[in-house]
Amino acid sequence: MDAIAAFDLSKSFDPAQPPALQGINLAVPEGSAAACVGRAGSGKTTLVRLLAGLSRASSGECSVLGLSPVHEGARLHSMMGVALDSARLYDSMSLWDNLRFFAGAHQVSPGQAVERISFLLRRLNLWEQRDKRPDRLSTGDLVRAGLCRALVHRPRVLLVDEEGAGMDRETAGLVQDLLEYVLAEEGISLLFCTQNMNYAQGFCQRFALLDKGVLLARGTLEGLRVGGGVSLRAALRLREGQPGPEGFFQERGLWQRLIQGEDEMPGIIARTVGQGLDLYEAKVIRPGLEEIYAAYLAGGRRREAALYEQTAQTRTEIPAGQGREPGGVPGPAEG
Amino acid sequence: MNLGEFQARRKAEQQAGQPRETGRGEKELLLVKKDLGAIWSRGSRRALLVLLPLTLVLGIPAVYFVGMLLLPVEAGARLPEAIMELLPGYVQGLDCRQGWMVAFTKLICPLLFLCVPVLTAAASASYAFVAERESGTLETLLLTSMDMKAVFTAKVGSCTILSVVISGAAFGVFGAGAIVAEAFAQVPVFFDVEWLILVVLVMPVLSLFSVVFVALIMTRVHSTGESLETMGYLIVPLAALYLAQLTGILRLNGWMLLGGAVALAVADVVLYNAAARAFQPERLFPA
Repeated sequence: MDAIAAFDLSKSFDPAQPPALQGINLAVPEGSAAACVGRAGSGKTTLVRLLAGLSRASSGECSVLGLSPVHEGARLHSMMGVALDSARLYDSMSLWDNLRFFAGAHQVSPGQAVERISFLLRRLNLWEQRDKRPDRLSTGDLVRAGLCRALVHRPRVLLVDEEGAGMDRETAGLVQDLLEYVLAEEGISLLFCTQNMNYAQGFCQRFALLDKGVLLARGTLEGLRVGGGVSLRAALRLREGQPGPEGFFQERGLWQRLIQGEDEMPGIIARTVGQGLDLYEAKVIRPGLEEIYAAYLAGGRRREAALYEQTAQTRTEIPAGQGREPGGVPGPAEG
Repeated sequence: MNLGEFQARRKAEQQAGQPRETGRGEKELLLVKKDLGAIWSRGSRRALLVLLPLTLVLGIPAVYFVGMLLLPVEAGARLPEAIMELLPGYVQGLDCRQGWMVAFTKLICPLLFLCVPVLTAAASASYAFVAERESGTLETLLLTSMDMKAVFTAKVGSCTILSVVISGAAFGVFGAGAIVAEAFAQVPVFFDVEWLILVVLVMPVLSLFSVVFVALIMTRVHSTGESLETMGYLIVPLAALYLAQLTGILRLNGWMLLGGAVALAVADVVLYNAAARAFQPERLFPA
């Protein structure tokens, strides 16, 4: 069963402006973690608000656990947690009292609430801050407190809209740890909306790429890589000063070449060693989500053609036996 | 997959999911307690909700009473005939100071008293609705398993309760002060059937009216300050009605107050339903 489903979902705030979301089709299977990534203004928050029932779709439909977010909001919210930057906590109460209040609003029994809140606060390193009011907390603490609030009633589905602000390194690590825990131990289904693509790549299995309200593509990382025409790269580390093998360009201290699949690696290694080069390290560099997203924005396979062209040009310009540094090639994220 | 298939699949998923039913009363009570606590816990709000009624029902009457005592009055002077006609018959036998005392408690004090439910209800509703929307906590509240109507009802309930309690206490303070002043001035006690209707019927329905009025306009105002300004819209017609008595155009009697209470109750129902319908996330948080 799909925990989250959207069918031709569109949202327009102003008829004179382009729609915030346009014909989105999305399915997040129950128990899985999906990320919706895109730049600022790509429609991520609008999507979360539609799925949370805070906004009505202009056309199309969406459902979470089979329920309509708009018409069955109360029932749905008892099974769904939503962490939105704009959904704040009460400054008139301590963090602990806030969480107790929201647990009560979800009809969590007092005993279970104390247990759950204690667990979440300790897990997110907020235990020492529990008696502070939210207006005394740092931005990172507030992000974690918002996640505590969203998880206080053990939801089956969690929607997170991470706007990038306030996710310092500590917060990012703690949030990722907690999300991995609830995914593995509580079987939660997650839709994580963020601009921070490499962060989402760390714990999500499926991705939806959004740009200007349009869904560019969706699928697994590998599926998106293939669909976007982003190649793997063979990377070799040779003895310093040695020329690279034919067809390779140098980037970040490694001799690299685009390859179609991992099965090309044994041949590359054998040829390199056969040429008498001192090979210290050989690896396959997989493109990160950010690179794949950029490829979709640039028009998929056209980018790969440009890269191949650049590689070929470099090979002819630089005489054999000298180091080469082709400029303008985007650095891949290693994965 | 077409739209029909999507809807059929959604229905099947819904049956498979078997979401649990949630109760309402308990959660509404929790929200009422939270709202009352939040309004009362902040010093500036508490000061407004205490000092304003005290000024209206104790401060202004005290100043009037002292001023009346200091007023130089010629022997045998009496109230103007036009004022006398608006007051009960026993005023004929009272002197000028006593007459002005009765005129104040019968014609002006009801207006001062009715300002209390209007002001406290509008102020508490501004805090419970508009301030909560401004601070982003209303959105958080709508993400809980309480439905919109329950949140709305609980908020209207908490503001109305607070307003009625404060107005009731204000009447107690006013009554005690007035009785002392009347004993001092040797005039009959002010309390009569008109005051009874004001306190028991008009005051509660006026409190509810003020709360739902603020709730209704909350989608049109941009800040708590702007919302508090709406108290003016509510008080002006009330003041006009009472001050019109002094021009001789009308005299508010028990029947008119009873009719006014019924009209306000009907308006409460209409406004409540309109405000509850407008209490939708998309209208509360436009993009």
